[in-house]
Amino acid sequence: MNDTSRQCTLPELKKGVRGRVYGITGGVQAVRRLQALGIVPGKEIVKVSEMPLGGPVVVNVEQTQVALGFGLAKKVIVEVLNENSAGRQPKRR
Amino acid sequence: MKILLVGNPNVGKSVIFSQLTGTRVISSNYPGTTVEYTRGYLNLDGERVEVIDVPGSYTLEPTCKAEEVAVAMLPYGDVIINVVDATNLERNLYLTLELLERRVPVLVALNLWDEAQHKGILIDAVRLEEILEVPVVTTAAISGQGIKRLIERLPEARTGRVQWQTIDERFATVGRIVREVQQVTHRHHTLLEQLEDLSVMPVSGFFLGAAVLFGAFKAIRFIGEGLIGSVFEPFFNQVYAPLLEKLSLALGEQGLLHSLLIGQLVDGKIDFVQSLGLLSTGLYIPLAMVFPYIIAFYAVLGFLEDFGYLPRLAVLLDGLMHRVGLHGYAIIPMVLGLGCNVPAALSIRNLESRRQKFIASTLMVTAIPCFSQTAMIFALLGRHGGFYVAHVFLTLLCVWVVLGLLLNRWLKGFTPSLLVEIPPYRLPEFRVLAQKLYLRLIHFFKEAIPFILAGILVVNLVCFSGLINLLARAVEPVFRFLFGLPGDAAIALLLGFLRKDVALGILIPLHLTPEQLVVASTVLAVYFPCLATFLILWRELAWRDMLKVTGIMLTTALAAGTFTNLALHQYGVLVWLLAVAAMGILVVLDVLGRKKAVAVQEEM
Repeated sequence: MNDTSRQCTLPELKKGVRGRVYGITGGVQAVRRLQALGIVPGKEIVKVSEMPLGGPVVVNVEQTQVALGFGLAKKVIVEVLNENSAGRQPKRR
Repeated sequence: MKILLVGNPNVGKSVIFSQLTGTRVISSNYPGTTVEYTRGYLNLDGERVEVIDVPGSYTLEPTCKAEEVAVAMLPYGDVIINVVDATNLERNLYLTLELLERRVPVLVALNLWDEAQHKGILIDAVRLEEILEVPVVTTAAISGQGIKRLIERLPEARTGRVQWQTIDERFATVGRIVREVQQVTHRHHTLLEQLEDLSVMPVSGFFLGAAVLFGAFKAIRFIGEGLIGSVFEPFFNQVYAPLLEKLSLALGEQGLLHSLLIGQLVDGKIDFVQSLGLLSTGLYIPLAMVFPYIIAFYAVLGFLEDFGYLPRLAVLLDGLMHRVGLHGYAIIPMVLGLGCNVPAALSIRNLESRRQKFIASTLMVTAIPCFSQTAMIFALLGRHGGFYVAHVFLTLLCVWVVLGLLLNRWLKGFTPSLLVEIPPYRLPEFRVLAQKLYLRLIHFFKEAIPFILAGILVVNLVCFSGLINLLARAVEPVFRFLFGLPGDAAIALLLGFLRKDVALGILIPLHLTPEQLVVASTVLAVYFPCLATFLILWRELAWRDMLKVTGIMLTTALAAGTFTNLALHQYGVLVWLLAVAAMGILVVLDVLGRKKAVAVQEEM
């Protein structure tokens, strides 16, 4: 609850946790593709799930659910926010 | 005057298009259904106005072929209807701002209005109109709500007064607008939303995926067999057969015309499968053997599409698809290809790189049998037992995997990561499903019947002229040696260029053993796409890549045919063990190679 400024990549973020996009470490192409779906620095996201063995990461951005392939997800750096987030998140605790 | 429908993917442009023009186009609940523009006409106060349905795009800076089509269309529009998803205002407004910076009259359709209300999203449309300074009309296109108003306000479309902004400024503006006009009330998750989340979780996702595929398979069989047993067979046997027998008698039961129209009598009677006449077999194959399964397949596919399951399948299979040089979304052309390879070849446009397009096209045309073909394989081999049917499909699966692994190794370049919006689950309306099914059945009739009749005609001509014997003698040694097939089977391969189902159909009179049928079915599935698919791919890939694909297909067909022949006629399980071992080695090589490649991919 108290750690406000911890940073990690999207695959490292725990399921159901809310984070704020801090930056994108990829090239122009990656930044542009993510931008198109509203994944830009400053945006709050909630991680929904992650497939095993380097599969995609699914996040909620605003009212949309977006799937990011593992390679792309690793380029998204997020600031971990309050774990007790509002909005849609997996039912399991 | 030209009106363009422009908006993000999967916001309902095609539904609005259908409502405005009465021209029916296929719409589904996943991004990238429309990959080409469609024209239609709207009667506006007596003036015939052209309306164009443009593929969806998130920005005016395209990232794939379908989006390029969209952006290239823009200069041709006199008015743009910007279709905006009301449940996703924030993301959609980015494109709206980009459009307003261009000097072209814009009108905003705030679509999915009903769904936004259900979700507790309140948007002040009047205020939005004031801010954007262009008309904003709320619509719920599927039920037709707001469409009339949209047409009424068309003349009010205005050029935006937004100055050009940098990307960051634009996002800031979007944020400001959304804060001012939108209010989201919190509410409990519905059952569908819980199912949405479960569908993309590792364990429950794969469990649900398996259940969906199994259910789809069962449903297709149930509907298909039901239709054949209760409608099509009774019709052909009780209504059509007596009519045809009268015609046969009238024609004197022999002669050129009789052979052409009705074919050879088997034991003095018309045999719909073996007679090979235009009016007997020529109609029976497409209508009684294939068509019922086409109905069944598209009924089930339509439901899955509109429910919104396909993007979730892409998430589940992304890891697997990366092994063959594709990403998860390439599952869409594969699934569509199971129905018909033609729309599948078009949907490959949604993939980003040339490498991906090449791999996806190759795998789709070589190893994905269309449903006409599948229906015939079931009809031909099903009566000999499930083993034979399974053999064909398992071989095709192996071809898909091995070919994919090899292409991924050999082709330069890398595969971009999956990035896709996952739409909410929506319970499809029966009326909408029925319309889509109707469109696809019409397409089947236009594509299938002429080709099948042409195919039967070719068979008859070849038989009459005696060319068949010449051809059979010529290929006999090769066919015997590689495939264990008689030379006569060559005519099936020849016809396969036109249409796969009829090619399988004419194997029946040859009285092949089940093993030989398996070999023939496998070779037919792999060696070449039907003419219609070939032409589309030629256009999409250009001739150089198409030649490569053709070369790969022919080689693979030889290999797959020989493999099946060896497995069924000579060495049995041993061949399969070898194949599995070879696949294992390829997988290990892939895993080892990937560790090195990761470092390189990081750079991109």
